[in-house]
Amino acid sequence: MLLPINWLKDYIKINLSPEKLAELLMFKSFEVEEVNGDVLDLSITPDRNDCFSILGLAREVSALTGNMVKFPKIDVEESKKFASSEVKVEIQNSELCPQYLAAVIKNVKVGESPAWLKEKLESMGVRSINNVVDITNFVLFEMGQPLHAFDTDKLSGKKLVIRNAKKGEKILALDEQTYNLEKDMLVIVDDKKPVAIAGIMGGAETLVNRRTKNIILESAIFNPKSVRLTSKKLGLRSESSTRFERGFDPTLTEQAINRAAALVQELCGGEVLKGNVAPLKIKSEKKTIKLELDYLNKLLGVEIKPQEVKKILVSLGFEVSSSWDVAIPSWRQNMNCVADLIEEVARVYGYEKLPDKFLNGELVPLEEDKKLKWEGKIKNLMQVVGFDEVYNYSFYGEKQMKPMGLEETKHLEVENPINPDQRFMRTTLLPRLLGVASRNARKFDEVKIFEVGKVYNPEELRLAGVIVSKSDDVGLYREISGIVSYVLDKMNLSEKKSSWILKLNLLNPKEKEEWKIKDSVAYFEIDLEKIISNAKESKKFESLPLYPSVSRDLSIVVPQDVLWKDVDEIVQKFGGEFLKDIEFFDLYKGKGIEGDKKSFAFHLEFSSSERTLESNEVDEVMGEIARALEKKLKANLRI
Amino acid sequence: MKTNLNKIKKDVLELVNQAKDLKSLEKIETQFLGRKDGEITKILRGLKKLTVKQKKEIGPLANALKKEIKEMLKEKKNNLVGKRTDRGFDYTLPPKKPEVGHLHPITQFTKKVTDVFVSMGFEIVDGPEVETEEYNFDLLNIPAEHPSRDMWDTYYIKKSRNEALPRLLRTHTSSVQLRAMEKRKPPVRLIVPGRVFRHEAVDAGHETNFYQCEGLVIDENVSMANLISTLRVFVKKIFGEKAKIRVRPSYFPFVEPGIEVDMSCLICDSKGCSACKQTGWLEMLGAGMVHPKVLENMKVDSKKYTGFAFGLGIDRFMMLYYGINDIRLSYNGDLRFIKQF
Repeated sequence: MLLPINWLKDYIKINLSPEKLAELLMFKSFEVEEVNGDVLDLSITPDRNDCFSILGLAREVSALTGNMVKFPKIDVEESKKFASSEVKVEIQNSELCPQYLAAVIKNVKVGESPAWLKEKLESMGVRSINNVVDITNFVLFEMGQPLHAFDTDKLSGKKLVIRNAKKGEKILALDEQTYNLEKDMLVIVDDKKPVAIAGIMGGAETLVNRRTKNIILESAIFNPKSVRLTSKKLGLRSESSTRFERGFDPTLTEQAINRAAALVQELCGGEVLKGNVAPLKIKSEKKTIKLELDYLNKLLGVEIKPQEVKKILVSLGFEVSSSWDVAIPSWRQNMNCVADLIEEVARVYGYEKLPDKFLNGELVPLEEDKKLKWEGKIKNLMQVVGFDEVYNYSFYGEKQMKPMGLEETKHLEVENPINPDQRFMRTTLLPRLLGVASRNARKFDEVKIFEVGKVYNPEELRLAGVIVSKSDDVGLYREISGIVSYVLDKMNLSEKKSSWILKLNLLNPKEKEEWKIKDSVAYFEIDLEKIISNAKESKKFESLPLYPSVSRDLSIVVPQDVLWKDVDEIVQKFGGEFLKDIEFFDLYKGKGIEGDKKSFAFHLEFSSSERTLESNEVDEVMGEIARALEKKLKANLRI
Repeated sequence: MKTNLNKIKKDVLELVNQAKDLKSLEKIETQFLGRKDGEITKILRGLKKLTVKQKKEIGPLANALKKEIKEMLKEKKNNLVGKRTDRGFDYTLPPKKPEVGHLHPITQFTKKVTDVFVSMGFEIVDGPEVETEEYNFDLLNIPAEHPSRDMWDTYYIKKSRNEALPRLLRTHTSSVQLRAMEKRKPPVRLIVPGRVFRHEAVDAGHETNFYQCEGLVIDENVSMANLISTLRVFVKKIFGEKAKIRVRPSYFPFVEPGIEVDMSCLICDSKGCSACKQTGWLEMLGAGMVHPKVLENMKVDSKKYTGFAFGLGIDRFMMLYYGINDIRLSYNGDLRFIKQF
C-alpha cells in the first residue's frame, strides 16, 4: 500500500519528515518497504485491513503522534424523490453479502476529473478514467471501502439481485476479459445477466462513460473468504478484492457511499435521490475482550502501568471500562483474543523497552534424536574418507529419471511444478548425484561426493555416494565397497541385512555415455532408516598382543570362476585359532598364468595371546590351508 | 684492538654474504673461529697478555663477536639449506594438499546453530517434509482462504485416488511444532532444523528448497522479554559480541504478538551497504508469542502456559556468516564451492 504523505496531510497534521514517519511506523506498526520522496511504500500485514486506506493510516499515525484526525465533511443534498422508487435491490445470499447499499444519482455530467483528483489517483499508481469512476477509486483509497458505479440506463430492468452465479453464466469484465462463472461465485445481476463479480470487478457492458447520464453507486460488504476464493479461481485480483478478502468495517459502507455521492454532486452535478437503497441492516454490536493486566505483564515480561496500558488502547480507538472490558472499534474486526490486545499495547509501548531477561526454568534432561545424531556421524565418516557433501533438489524430472529407468507411477507427483525438473519427488538420491558428478568430472580429476537426504513415497532418509576416478573398474569397485563397509562397521549394527544396501555398482559404458562421464564411475545408496535404528555406539577394545606375530604370504593360481569369497572362507576355516588376519593384496591375470586361470596373493598373520608361536606350528597350518585350497578350489601354490 | 675487531666483523659479514654453499661457510668458520688459527680464537688467546683494564674491555667484545659470527653462520646455513640446492631436490616445490572431504556449509552452519541452542537446553526435533495442510497451515491458525496464506507460496502434491486430504511440501518447519507437542508436555524447549520448500522463481536470493530452523519454548512464565533475550544471545554467539538486534512488530498467524528481528549489518558495520539496502540492518527472522489458539491445538492450557516461537532461515544466516551472495551455490553441487568449507 502506497502512502503519499501529502494526501495524508489532508486529514492529520504531520510534523515529521518522511524518513522519521517511516521509522515511527516501522517500529510501531508495520514494515516500510521504501521511502520514495514523499511516498511511503508500506507492507501492511493481513491482520491490519484497517490500514488499507489513507484515513485508516491517518488514524494509526494519530495514535502514534497524538495529532487529531480531521475526517472529511460529507454534505449530500438529496432530492425529494426516493432512491428506492427508482431501483430495487434483492440479496438472495445474505451470508456472502451481509449488506448492499445503492445510491441513485440522475443527470450527472461525466467528464474529465479535476487536476487534484487526477493527481491523487496518480500518486496511488492509478490512471484517471472519468470523474465518476475516479471518485469511486478515490473513496476506495481514502476510506478503504470498495465502490462501484453502474450506468443505470445500460441495466436491463430496474432491479439488482445479489446471488450465486448459475452454471454457464459469463461476464465480460472491465478488464475486457470474459470470465466463466461458477455456482459458488457471488454475482450482481440485472434482469438478464451478471453485471458485476461481487467484490472483484464490474462488467464492461454497464460501465460509466462520457455518454452516461444516470448512475447507481454500490457500496457493499462481501464475505472475505468467498471473494478470495472467487478471485483465486478466476485468477483476477483488484484493489477491491484485496480489501474485501481482508475483512471490513461494517460502519464504512454508508459513510463511503455518502462521501462518493457528495463528491459526484460536487464534481459532476446531478440529482441524488433520497436515501440509499438498503435491503438489509447490518447489526454492528461492539465486540469486547477482557484484558487481564497480570496476563499482559506475564506475556510481555515487563510491568506496564495500568494508566499507560489504558492510554495506549484509547489512542488506538479502543474503549476501556473500569473493569478492563475493552470494546473493539468497528475498524478492528480482526481482534479476537486477549493476545491481540496485548500486541496493540506492546507495539506502541515499544519492544526496545523490554528488559533483557534470559529464560529460566526447570532443567529437563534432553532426549537425543537417534536419527539426527547418526545423520551427523555418518556425514562425518564420509568426510573422513575424503568425500565432499552436496545438497540436491528434492525433486527431479524425466531428464534425470530416464537414465535410471525410474517409473513415474512410483513417485509423488508435484501438482504445480515451476519447471519440468520439478515434476516428481525423488525416490532415490542417485540421479541428481550422478548429474553433479558428471558436471564436476569436467573440472576435477577425481570426484568423490555424497548426499544424505530424504527420498519420498515413502519418506525416508538415504545416504548415497558417487566416485568418478581414473582408476580401473576393479580397483574402483573395491574402493567404494570398502567405503560402504567402513561406514557400516562404524555403526556397529546389531544385525546386517544386504537389502539395506540398495545400490552398490559401477556404471556400464552405455550408462556412462548417458551421464556424459568418460572415467570409471562407482555409486552406492543405503537405506539409513533401518540401519540407524540398528546402530550402536562401539564399546569394543581389544588388548594389544603381548607376543610377536608370525606372518606369511601366499600366492595361489585358481580357475577363473573362483571368487575371493571362496578363498577367504576356506582360509578362515582351516586357519586355526591363531589366524588373526587375512589381507588380500593382489589379483593377477595374464603373462605367466594360463588363460583360464587367475592368481590371488594375500598375507596371513598368526599370533597367540599366551605365547610366541613356533615357526613350524605356523608352517603346519599353512600346509593345511594350502591342501584345503587345492582340494576344494583346484588351487596351485605359486612360488 | 677494538678497530681490529670491527674490521673482522666487517670481513665476516662480507664473506658470509658472498658465500654460496655450505663449504664456503665452513671455510669462514675455520678462518675466524678455528680452534688453532682462527682470528677470533687468537685474539681471545692473546687476552692474558693484556692489562686488566684492556682485558675488561676487549674480552667481552671479542666474546660477543664470536657469538655474533656463530649466529651469522647459522642463519646463512639455514638460508642455504632453505634453498636446498644441496639436498639433490627442490624443497620449495608447493606443498601437496591432503585429500580430505568437505561438509556442505549448510551442514556445518546448522551444527553451529544447534550447538548454541543445545547449550541453552533446547532439544533437536525432526519431522516430515511432505506434510498435510492441517499441520502446515490449519493447526497453525492459518485457515484456508485467509489472506495470510499468501505469505507462503506452496508446492502441492497431486492427490492420488484414495487420498482425501491434499498434501504439500512443508513451507516451514513450524509444522513440526505441533507434531512434537503430540508427544510432549510443557515445559519444552525445542528446535527443528530442516528442509522447507517455497513455490518461487529462483534467483540469487530465493530457492525452491532451503533450510530453516524453528524454535519453540513453552513453560509457565515464558515472556516476550525472554524471547528477545534468547535471540540476542543466539545472534551474539554466532556472530560475536558486536552483533546487535532490533525488534519490530510483525504478523504471523501462529504467534501473537508477532515480531520481526533485524540484525546489525556486519558487512558494512551498520554504515549502510547494498546488502542492507543502506539501512545498516538485515532482516533475520520472524518470531512471537505462541498464539493461544495454537497452544490449544497442541493441547496445552493457554491460561497456565505461555510460549514463544521463532523461525530463522539457515541459508540466510550461513550466507551472511561466510559472505556468500548467491543462495543457488548451495544447491548446484559445484565442488569448487563445497571444497572451500
